[in-house]
Amino acid sequence: MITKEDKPIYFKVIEYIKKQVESGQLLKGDKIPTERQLVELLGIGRNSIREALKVLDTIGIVDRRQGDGSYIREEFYNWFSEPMRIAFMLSETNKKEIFEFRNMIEVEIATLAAQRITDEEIEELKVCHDKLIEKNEEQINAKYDKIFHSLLAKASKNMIIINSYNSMDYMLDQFIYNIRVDAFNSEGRELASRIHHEIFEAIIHRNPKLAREAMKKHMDVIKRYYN
Amino acid sequence: MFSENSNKAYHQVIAYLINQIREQRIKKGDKLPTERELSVSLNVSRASVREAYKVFHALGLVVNIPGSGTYVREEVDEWLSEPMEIIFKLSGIKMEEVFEFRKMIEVETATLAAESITELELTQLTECYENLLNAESEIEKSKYDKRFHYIIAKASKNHIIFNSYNAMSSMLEVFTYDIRATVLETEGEEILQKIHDEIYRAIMNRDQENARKSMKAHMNMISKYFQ
Repeated sequence: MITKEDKPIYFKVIEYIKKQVESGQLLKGDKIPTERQLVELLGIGRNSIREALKVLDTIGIVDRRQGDGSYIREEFYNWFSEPMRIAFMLSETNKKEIFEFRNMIEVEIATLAAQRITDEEIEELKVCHDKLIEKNEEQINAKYDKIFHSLLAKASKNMIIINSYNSMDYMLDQFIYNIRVDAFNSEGRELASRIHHEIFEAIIHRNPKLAREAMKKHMDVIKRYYN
Repeated sequence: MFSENSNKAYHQVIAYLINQIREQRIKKGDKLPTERELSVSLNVSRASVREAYKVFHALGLVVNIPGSGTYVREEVDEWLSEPMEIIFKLSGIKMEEVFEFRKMIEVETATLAAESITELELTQLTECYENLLNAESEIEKSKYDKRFHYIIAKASKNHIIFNSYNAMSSMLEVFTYDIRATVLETEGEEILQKIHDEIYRAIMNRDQENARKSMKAHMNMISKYFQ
């Protein structure tokens, strides 16, 4: 059905920037050639140049500063979680896939977090943990459950993990809520608190081995109930 | 990146489109509403709709077919590839991080692939494997090595894995070439060949246990070079 694609002119600017970045001539924070320079360099109209810069700004690669020109952004920390999220949505990801993925990474995330967590992150985790073990409505607990795991991903310091984890967060609300409810019905309210508490203690004591084991137990519980 | 709270009209259009995708009212291969239709239904200017579509286009999520309209791309591996390349280069993600992530997912991915690989994918894997064996230059071999793992990721039928894998695609090219070069220097060609041979055979035989073992051995081999 899809035949020949129409590549707009302003793509040339994106191509140009890509080449400059690839060759190391443009780095984070660097100023991009001015609109006028780009017109000369690329032989395309100023309007197309502007279009391209506007798109690159929205995407988050470029920072257009009024009166000062355009710069490559400084920070890409959380950059690709948003576009990846869209890709996941288009892929119609299901529960089984979420479980499989979490099963692959959560144990390792906990281990890395125990090794790399900063004091500041420990404070953040404490706040979240305290909320998580309170006796709240399940909607609220599920929210903090999700945040808990998200903080661990952040503490792993691995950008790919952080971005991948954040990309799937929109699927986790329902996923986590459903599992928590089923687990309670079968094994009681205390289970979730206990499990997260064990993980929490291991991590704040920076014990990777215990963190790993505690997270494995967590994954086992999820396995029982995600369906 | 896309702020729902932004007062810019085209950000709102983007937020609307993302929501449509989340609700699965817009799917792979679907035609997007025309500029006119969307500007009327959202009560925004056509320019705003055009801006939003440009952003999606630059992300590789949609294509423009002249005389026909704007469509969501069918081929998931085309999504995001261009901006990702730029971002990876700019963000300074290290090889260690890529490998850390791969270590988490590749073993289970191979196991899932052994279970779920289709006949067509098996054919593709075979072809890729043969190309890997017969390739003459290291550049070519690296290309097929990377593709080998890519087909396995696809065969896992887990979209999160697959999309994450795609997102890392440009990093994997460099990674694969560099690692192969290092292994070749220290241990020689045979071990590289043997490793892929074992993985290939396990998957061909739909043998999950051996797929797991052989991929684990592969990851352990690479691990040595990251100590």
